[in-house]
Amino acid sequence: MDFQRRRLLQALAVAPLAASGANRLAFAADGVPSDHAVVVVFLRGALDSVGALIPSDESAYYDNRPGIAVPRAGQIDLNGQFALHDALRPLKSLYEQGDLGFVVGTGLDSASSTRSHFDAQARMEGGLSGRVGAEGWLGRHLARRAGGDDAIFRGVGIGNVSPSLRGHDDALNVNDLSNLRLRPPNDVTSFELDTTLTAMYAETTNPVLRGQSDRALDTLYLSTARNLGHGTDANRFGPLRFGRDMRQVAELVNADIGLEAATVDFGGWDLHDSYGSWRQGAMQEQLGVLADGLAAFHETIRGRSDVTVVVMSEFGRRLEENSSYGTDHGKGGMMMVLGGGVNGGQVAGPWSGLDSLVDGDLPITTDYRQVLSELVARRLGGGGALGSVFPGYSAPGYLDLFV
Amino acid sequence: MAPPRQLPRSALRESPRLPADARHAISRLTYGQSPDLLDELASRGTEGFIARQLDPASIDDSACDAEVAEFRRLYRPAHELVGQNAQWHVQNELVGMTLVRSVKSRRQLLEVMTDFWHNHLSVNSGKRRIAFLLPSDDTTMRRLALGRFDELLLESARSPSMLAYLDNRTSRGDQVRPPNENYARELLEIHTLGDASAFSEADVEAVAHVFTGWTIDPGNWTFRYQADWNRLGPSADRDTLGWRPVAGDGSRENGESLIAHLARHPTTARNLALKLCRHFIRDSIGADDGTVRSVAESYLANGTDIRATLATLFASEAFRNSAGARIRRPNELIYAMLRATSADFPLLRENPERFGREVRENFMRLNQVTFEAPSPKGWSYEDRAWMDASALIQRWNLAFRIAANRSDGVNVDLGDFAMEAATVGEFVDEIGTLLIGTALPESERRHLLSHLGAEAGDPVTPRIRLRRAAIVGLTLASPTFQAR
Repeated sequence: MDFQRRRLLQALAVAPLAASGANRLAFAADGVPSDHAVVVVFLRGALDSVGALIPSDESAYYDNRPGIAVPRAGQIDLNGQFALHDALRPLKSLYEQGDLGFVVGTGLDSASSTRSHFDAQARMEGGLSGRVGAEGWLGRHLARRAGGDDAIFRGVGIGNVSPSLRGHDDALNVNDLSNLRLRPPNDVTSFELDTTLTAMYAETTNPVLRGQSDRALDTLYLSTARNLGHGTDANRFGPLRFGRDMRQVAELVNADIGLEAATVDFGGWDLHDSYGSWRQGAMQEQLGVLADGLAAFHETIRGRSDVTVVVMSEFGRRLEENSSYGTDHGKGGMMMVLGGGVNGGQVAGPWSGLDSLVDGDLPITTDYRQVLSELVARRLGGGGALGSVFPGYSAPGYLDLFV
Repeated sequence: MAPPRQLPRSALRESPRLPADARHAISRLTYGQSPDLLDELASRGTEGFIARQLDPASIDDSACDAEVAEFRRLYRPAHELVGQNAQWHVQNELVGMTLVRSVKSRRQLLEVMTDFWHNHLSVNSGKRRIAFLLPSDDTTMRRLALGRFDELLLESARSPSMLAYLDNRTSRGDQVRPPNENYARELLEIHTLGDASAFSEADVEAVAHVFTGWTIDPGNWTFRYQADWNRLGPSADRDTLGWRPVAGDGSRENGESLIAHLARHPTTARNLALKLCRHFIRDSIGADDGTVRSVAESYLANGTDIRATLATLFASEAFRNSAGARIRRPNELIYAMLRATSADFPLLRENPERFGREVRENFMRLNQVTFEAPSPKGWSYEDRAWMDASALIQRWNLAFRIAANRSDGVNVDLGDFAMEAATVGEFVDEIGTLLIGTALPESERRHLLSHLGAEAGDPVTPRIRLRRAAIVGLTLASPTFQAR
């Protein structure tokens, strides 16, 4: 950020009354939209994919889950073969209008596959085969693209900087955009508090602190000047964490502030127990929150084609229910892609069927990187650089998930 | 409103600033400098201080206990809390109670280690009913936090909050469907061995069978062993990580002896030693580091005794040479700020639940709400997980809110502290000594002076005194205060 602009933004930040007029000032350099953005929703704890996208015509589904299978009455048919759990109803129209697609049988490659949540997540976010490196796949994607000096919001992790963003040193953690302000109480207000702070941090030798204060200052100026935190309809997203998180991303998208990658964590999927019925219980609630948040997001950004949401999880769950009326860790899972640039209305990927399980699990038939590679190549303008985003991997072809 | 607290201003003036080794011990064995520690370290010395903290029973903590007793609801038996169905209130009070203990307890290392074990054996109070089960499990954790790990692990396996969190409560071996594997897997992967490559799927299946029938009595919500649910299954006649059953189906002794075996497994020793060294030394220390090895050896040689293990760690050169090498996690930062400013909690005496709800806001903004870690792995041990531009902004805002006594749920009253300093340098350094035990390093201190537009030798004017809250805030917001 150049000195002149920083001073101008600083003037706005120091004088709160001026901030309300900030939107009327044209900051051409801040308003440069990125080409395309990806929003990665990670369902932590391992989504029971067959309970969300139900292979409704296979008796093995009902036979293995006498206590928790969703009956036909609780299914929303998609294509005669698969049906949505009733709680995913808000996604039906997105599927029909071609903005939402599913990929079945997804997961880690055989060298990386594990039933450990934490190892599976780390490997998936790292994007390497059989090991976890220092960087994440989104971090490598961002690092390969030259970022301008106004690119404060290029890589954003909602709630925390997810490991997939590692490698992008400027990755920003946003909990609530309206909190990105320096708000000393009146009795402390003192000119140049921010410059004193930056000066105090300038000489720190702690590698984790070094450089953060400059980024903090840039973030403060920009979020104050653009009045971030007040730009979306909160009611549409509801009070729950996932909705609030998606609202932050939607505002960043609509602000055209240079967002290129955002990560959202949604936990609570490890339903070994208390899975519940299709009408009530943990699975039904979780899926409902997921569907509502995705639909609200899509509506808020008006389905623009330069933003793609990917929903993923570390692995699928075992087909057979356990003695707690829940499911244990499995293998093959599912991914979802949502956006105006998605070739939706399809359930993609080879489906091996529930009669050909491996050790009780749906096998992994599509490497998650095959989906992400197509995303990077076709939506994120990175076709020529896939080797640096997913080193050592080359997709055996694309599933034509993206326009 | 409580009467203004008297800070030991004269003692601060008279006692020399703390030497570096004393400040280091404070920053690692406690949640940070507080005025009373200045005197204690000066009289007892660093070695004596460490030895005393390792022996919490020798420290009278009745004043803190009395404050914590305000959380009357948390002393009710679990089944009563389940009946009240006030989960949100109990979650808030748990945050508040942990904050009061962390800030006020004189058994600081015990609190640090209680938090460490809660994080190692993490449960989430947001999952159904767990908040009701946590108060008594928290008491057990504190009782054993400086005891022996094998006992701690056994209590964790029996604790209703863990049985509910990792679903072992409903795991049965007497059904057609298989036992629930959740607890078994995390017991191996997180609580003991710490490495998913150190065990197989068959080990998970075997361990899951051993713990079938370890459940909760649905009447009083305490541990119950349901012998007729227990089947050893494949664990009956195989070697599971070097362990074999000591009795047949329906014998609780099997699970107990498996816990004892796992607690003494060399891989467990390395895992715990690494975690402790990362916490107390630096997050980048490697599993092959000599200090980690000697801490692991001490753990095994002393029969999983945590005090002896920590004594080895605190005596190591790596520990002594690690001052300031760790970033304070959000909870550590909040406690440190409140300790440094001698905050007190009038709202607690009026309404413990509202107190908990208000202080919770501070943890929310910094993304670390007590007992709400998002996964069984607990909160991250890595410094960089807790620091980015936005986190720094929240830390700065917290510093200024506390300095100006505008922080949710707490009261900070510095009285006329530092107001009698003669020079601007003394003014700034008295504040530094109060908050961190010494003056800020020159690279930070000189910016405070220029912020005041003064030289160190200039006399303190009314205009300077008016800006005390800004200097307190800047010191709490400084790079030095973010580290421990």
